[in-house]
Amino acid sequence: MTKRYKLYTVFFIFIVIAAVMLSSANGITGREWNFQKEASSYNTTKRLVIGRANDSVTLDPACTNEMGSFKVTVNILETLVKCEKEGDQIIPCLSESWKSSEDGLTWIFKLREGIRFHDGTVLNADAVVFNFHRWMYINNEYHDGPFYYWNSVFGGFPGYVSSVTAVSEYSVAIKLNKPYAPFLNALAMPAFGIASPEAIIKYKDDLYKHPVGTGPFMLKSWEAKKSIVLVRNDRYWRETAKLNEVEFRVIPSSKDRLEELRQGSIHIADHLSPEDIAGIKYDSNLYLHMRPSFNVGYIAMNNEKYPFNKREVRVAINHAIDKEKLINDVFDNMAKPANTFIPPYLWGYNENLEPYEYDIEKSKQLLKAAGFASGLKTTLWVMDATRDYFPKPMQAAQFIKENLEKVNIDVEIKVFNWDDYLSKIHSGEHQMALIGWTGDYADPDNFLYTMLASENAKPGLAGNYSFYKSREADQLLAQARQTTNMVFRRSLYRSLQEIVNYDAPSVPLVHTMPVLASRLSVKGYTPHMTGVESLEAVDIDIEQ
Amino acid sequence: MKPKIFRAVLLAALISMIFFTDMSMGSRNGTKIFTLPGLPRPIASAPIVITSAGQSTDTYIIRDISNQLMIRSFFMPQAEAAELEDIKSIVFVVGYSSLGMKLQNMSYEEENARIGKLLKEAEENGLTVLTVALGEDHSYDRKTEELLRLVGGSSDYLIGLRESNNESTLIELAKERDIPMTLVGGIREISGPFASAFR
Amino acid sequence: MTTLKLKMSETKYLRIYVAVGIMLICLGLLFPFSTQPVWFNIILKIREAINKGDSGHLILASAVINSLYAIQSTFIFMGTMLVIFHSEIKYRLKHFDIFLVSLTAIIFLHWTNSALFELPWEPVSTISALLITLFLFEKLFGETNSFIQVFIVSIQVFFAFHWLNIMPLFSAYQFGKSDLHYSIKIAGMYLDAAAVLNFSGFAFFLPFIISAFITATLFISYSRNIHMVRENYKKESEIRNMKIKALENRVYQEVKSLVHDLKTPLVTIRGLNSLIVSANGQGKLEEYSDRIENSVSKMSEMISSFLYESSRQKLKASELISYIRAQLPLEDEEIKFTFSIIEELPDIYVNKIRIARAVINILENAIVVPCRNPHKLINVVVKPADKGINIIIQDNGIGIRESDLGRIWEAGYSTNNTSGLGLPFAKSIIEDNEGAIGIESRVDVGTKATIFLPAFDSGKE
Repeated sequence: MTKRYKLYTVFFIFIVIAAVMLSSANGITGREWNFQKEASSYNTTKRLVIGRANDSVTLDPACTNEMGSFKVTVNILETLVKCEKEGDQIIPCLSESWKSSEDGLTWIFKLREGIRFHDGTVLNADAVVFNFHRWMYINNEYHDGPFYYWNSVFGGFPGYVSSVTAVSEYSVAIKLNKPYAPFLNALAMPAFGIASPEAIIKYKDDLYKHPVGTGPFMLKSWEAKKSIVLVRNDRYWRETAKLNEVEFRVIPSSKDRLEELRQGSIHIADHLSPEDIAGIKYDSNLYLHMRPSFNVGYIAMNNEKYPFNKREVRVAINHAIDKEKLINDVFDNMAKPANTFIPPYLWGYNENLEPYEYDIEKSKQLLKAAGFASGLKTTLWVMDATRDYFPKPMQAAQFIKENLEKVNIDVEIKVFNWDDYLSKIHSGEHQMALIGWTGDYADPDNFLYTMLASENAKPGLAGNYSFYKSREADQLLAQARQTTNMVFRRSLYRSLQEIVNYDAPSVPLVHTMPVLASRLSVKGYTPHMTGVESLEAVDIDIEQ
Repeated sequence: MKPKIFRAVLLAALISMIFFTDMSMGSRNGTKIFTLPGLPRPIASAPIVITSAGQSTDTYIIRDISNQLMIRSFFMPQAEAAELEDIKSIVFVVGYSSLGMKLQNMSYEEENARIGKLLKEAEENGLTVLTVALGEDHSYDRKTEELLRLVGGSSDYLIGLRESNNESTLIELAKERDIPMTLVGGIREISGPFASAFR
Repeated sequence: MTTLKLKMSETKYLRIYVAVGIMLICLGLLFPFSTQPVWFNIILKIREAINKGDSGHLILASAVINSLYAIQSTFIFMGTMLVIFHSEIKYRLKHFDIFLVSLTAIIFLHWTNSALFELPWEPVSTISALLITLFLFEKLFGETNSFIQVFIVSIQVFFAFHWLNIMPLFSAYQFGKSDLHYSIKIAGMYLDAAAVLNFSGFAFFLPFIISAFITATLFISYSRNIHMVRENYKKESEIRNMKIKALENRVYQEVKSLVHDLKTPLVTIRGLNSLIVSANGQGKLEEYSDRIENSVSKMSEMISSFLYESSRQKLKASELISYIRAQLPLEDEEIKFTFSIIEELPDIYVNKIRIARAVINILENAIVVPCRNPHKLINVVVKPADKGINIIIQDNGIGIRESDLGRIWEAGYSTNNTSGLGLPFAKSIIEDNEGAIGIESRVDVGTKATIFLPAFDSGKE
């Protein structure tokens, strides 16, 4: 009898200790509660509405580099690997494991079995190879369109990639001819989403309207310039999404967007501007989100066009922009002045750069020295849509115009809609254009190579909108992306930034922190610094 | 009967002691908190002084982060107010370590006084004050929280860890004094917001 | 008086143990003070780890801090157990309450230690380790009394559990919330070495816990072995004793047959003697031959008495007593014999030789028994009894304990390393002769043996 008594008491003490311990391991219990709630609200249709400033240009991610498209396609198409939500580790996605050879040139990806595309076809090595061949070979019958990211990452068609083959039914081998440090990071970008070969064959040129992938959502409808509706993929290979439908609605005016958010007709308002912050912060129904500052907004000066081929002119313009005032007036003080083309806390940033101070006199002197004492005339192009790096593009353009007037530069502002804008600047038709870049992954290569490598200055495919071509810069960029030694890469990028700073191909203006807001009923929404996040973990709390 | 009462009393004493020592079950309120992923504009500039409030080893982590970011810093865990000449910003890393205090031969009151003087000096000379709080807090030893309140109240920017005991204190301070605050998920993510304060 | 002496030495032992226990507790409580430089060293190691980006230093720091905590806990644990087990408390409480008391006391000591000296402690891991140690302790201490063995087992358990405190995996479960452990974990996570810490934690915890259990098991089985060996030894000596008795019996048998063979030459002597008488017929020869006849007769009688247990003779009591007295060692000055024989004793009907041997056995016991007095007194009183006589032998030895009185008649039982056969032998002879024997005794006062012998009944014979 006493033995049992003893056992009970000891057991009881153990339970007490365990209860104390587990009660602080809150996360576990929290998740369980959510599960129950979800089960009960299964019957109601959950439709998340995201309001944004512009429509996607295309839904074929391989042929674009603009964020609006990726925001949608990241839910439809998936990549071989992906980046974890918080942090920068690469985790498996469509491939469950990978190996690389010692020299970093051969990569073998082992695909997960049992994944099907939305149209029911099987995801296997052949499907992956089909996609790669479409991207990398110019004479592939489905290689139709500007494959910006392929060009930018692999430097050409096929560029660094010498072959992509299916080793077995679920195993793909990618052979590079030069090592590429951020290879996995690159493959994680939405541009390399794997699409169903059947769909590619079936839709041909209309593929951009019919994305078929393996993701948590499928395309339901696309009303051009109005809205894109996605519907849940119930046969998703992971846990199915919590939402039934997602709508990306175009609401050009940010005021309207905010108003609709307040009224509850949309759940998330993207592309807000800093001046809206005060209103949102103190509204008890809304939740303010800010994306970490991971972009750069700049004035791209086409170095191949007169007079921007002269360094003095470029430097003069750099001196003529009052960035502080710009940030004050146009960005509501919610941006940082940019000294170079990568954000300041990214590794490799050179904090010793000497920025071009706002100095009108110096600017005038330089212009005089270049032979433009009497001034010059040029055009500044502006997009009509809000971008993360330019929440108020028109005002920014106006400000710049006024600044340049002071040094006798007459600026004509030309506005284009976003689609046209992109294709035009890709072809290098501009003189000065406002543009920017949001990083895809935390590696300076993604910023600097894209914007400064001469490989990227090919008309029609350009990401290097400055059309800056410098041999030294190219050498440094090439070397930095081929070595994996961090210390070496850092020093290479530092040198590169010195050179670029001296050459001043364009005027880096700002790094912004994009503002969004959501209603409190939206749960599980974490805006990612790349501007693109998939929505399978997002849920709407019906009660609120 | 007697032995049974005895046993019951012992059990009660035992369990109450266990609870008492384990009282670090902080309350997680679900109220809306606004945290930034970083500062949109830099508010501080180099050279900076990194000092400790409570002498824990966390200060060394911040020093390492600041070195990696190549911010010009002076590492003085026991900085005195007089040493703040030519300094533009001061970073307090809050974490109370009784052993650390003993190692430096300082008493809690001395530390409090030192910090008070530093804060006063910072206010007079317009230095930017950043507070980083990584550490845990004991149930019977509320010193970290006290130090946090002391320093955080006069800060211009707060950085802390989510799901740590300091979370609720930081949230309170941020709300009360309208100080921008960033909460990160892991210690490695501190360098982002930290850097955003400087450039 | 000597029993009092014994009790005092026992309590002295207890007091020493309790004092050692308290000393150990104090040692444990003051331990952090005396080893302060080592504690500081831990902080320095953590700093070095951060500066160099090397997580190996963190493992070193963890090893140091876990050892320190383990030693402190072990001291407090051992001290408390020593105090509890060697003080009055042990006898007053039942088994389970001791468990509760020790648990509470140790937790309380740890807690006050940390509150007083501002050195944080780890409640969860210490208490878990404590529960397991107490469990092992009970198992172990039940078998062996060795505190060194308990020390070895308990320090392993404490050391093992403290390694759980540096594992980021268990942070959510309230492990490792104190100052230094948390600093180690944070530094580890900063250096991206969470996996290293987790692995090291497991790598130390599992082997040490398993080792503690195995050590405890080994100690227990070792002590059980020793017990078994001792018991085996006892059994073997018993067997040996049995063999000796069997041998003695055998010897006795041999003697008996030898004695039997003695009779044959006697018969010859007798026969020839009578021939001599009849052949000569006068004077001295007759007298001498008569005497030879007498001697032969006596011898024959003695042999018959010895051989045939049941042959009895009519005998005067006084004659028996004188026969017995003749065989006693009266030279010993330490022993004082007094004989008081009442007049008018009836005649008894017994086997003289054997009864004499029986009484002498009893007397030998009285002679040999230890005595607390400077002189040993042995009184022999013979007085008439109902249908016989009583021989009462009283000594002033240490007596026989009541618990042993029941067993004195067992063959082979002895309280002072004799063969243990004397009393049973005496009893069986006396009872064969229709007598009875009883023994009373009072410890430290003396023993009284009362032997009843039947009188000669003229109806018999």
